Amino acid sequence: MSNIVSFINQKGGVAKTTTAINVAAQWSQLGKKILLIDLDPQASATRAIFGDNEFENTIYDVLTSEIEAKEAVVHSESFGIDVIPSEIMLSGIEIILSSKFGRESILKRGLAEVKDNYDIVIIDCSPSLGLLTVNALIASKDIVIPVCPEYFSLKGIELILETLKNIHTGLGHKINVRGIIISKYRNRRIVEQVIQDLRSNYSIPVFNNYIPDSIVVEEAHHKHLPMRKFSPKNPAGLALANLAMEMWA
Amino acid sequence: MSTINPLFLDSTKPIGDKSITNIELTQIFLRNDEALYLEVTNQMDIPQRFSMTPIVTKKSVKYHTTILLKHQQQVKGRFIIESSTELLYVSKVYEIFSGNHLSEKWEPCFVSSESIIKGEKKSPRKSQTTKERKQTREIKVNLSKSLCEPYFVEQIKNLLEDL
Repeated sequence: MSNIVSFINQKGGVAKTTTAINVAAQWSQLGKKILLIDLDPQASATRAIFGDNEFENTIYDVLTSEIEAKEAVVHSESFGIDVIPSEIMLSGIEIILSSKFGRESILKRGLAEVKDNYDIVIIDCSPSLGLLTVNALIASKDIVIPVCPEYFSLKGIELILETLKNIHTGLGHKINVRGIIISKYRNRRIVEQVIQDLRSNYSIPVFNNYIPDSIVVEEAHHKHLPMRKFSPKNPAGLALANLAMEMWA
Repeated sequence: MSTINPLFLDSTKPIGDKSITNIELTQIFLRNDEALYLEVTNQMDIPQRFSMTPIVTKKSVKYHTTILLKHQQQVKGRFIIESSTELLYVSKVYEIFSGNHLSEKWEPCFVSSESIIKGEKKSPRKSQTTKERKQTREIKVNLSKSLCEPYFVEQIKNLLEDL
């Protein structure tokens, strides 16, 4: 896997943040140095890890060139990872960036100095297609796509693939899709059907560890703990741990 | 004819035969009746002014403009603050290269020569001896020397001599 990987899906509520933060925490337990960047103005990853803490320096300040990326890094003891947090101000950044020269690679340039300090940089993207997501894609060599096994999520994959094609054509950047993560599944039979559809329609690998839907995951978010600490033996916790191992292989 | 989503256009590529060049000025505060411009002078010494607009971020206010320059074109530019009635301040001259991003802090600047002349007209003075006039001229030249480019010093010298 390359050094920078984005968790992306233009559909919301597919467990992008849940898988990103828990996979990051699991890799950290394996001794890897991980940086997680919360690129969502809703700051879901930031809230899940740090609760209601406010940060003076966030990814917004990095993208507006007020500070360097290393000044925005905060460490999470409970997750064992470094994080560049987000904030709601990020929602207005596209207006600021839109007229800038090299606007699509501002994040890539911002991360250039810090990325070599880490084994992996994970970008938790917002569920929308805009300049922020384009920046994440340009900064990444690999992406993973969390999906729920339902119709709208699957349509989201088509949108992502179209986006990747446009980025390759217009911006000359090729991105590798590492795989699809099946998350929040309820019915095993439906999952098998969805995977069959995915394999027949797209040539993208699907990770073998599927994450079941579980209220315990929400409880872990409330406690600002990774699943490996909050409920390691819960089926969702076990699946997330195994998924992290599978992704690292 | 297919429509291209501007999200996937490379902003670093030339538009026709021109490239986008961003110019940014930081650490500057304008009063309500003041406006900031970038005055660009090309190789033919033809000046052109571009209005600079504020971009308010969490930590600062920056003034920004975008100009289109031909490929590998290099021009000179300076920042100008004007009120509705007069030119107030000018900065030193900067080199601007096509396709680059220029970000500068507002340097302490001098009041333009037009304002100096107007100031003299407002405050009536007793007539000076030749020696006093020479001293006044030297003080003014020394003051502007510390702040501006040599060619501008020459201009002020010439203006004072004309008086």
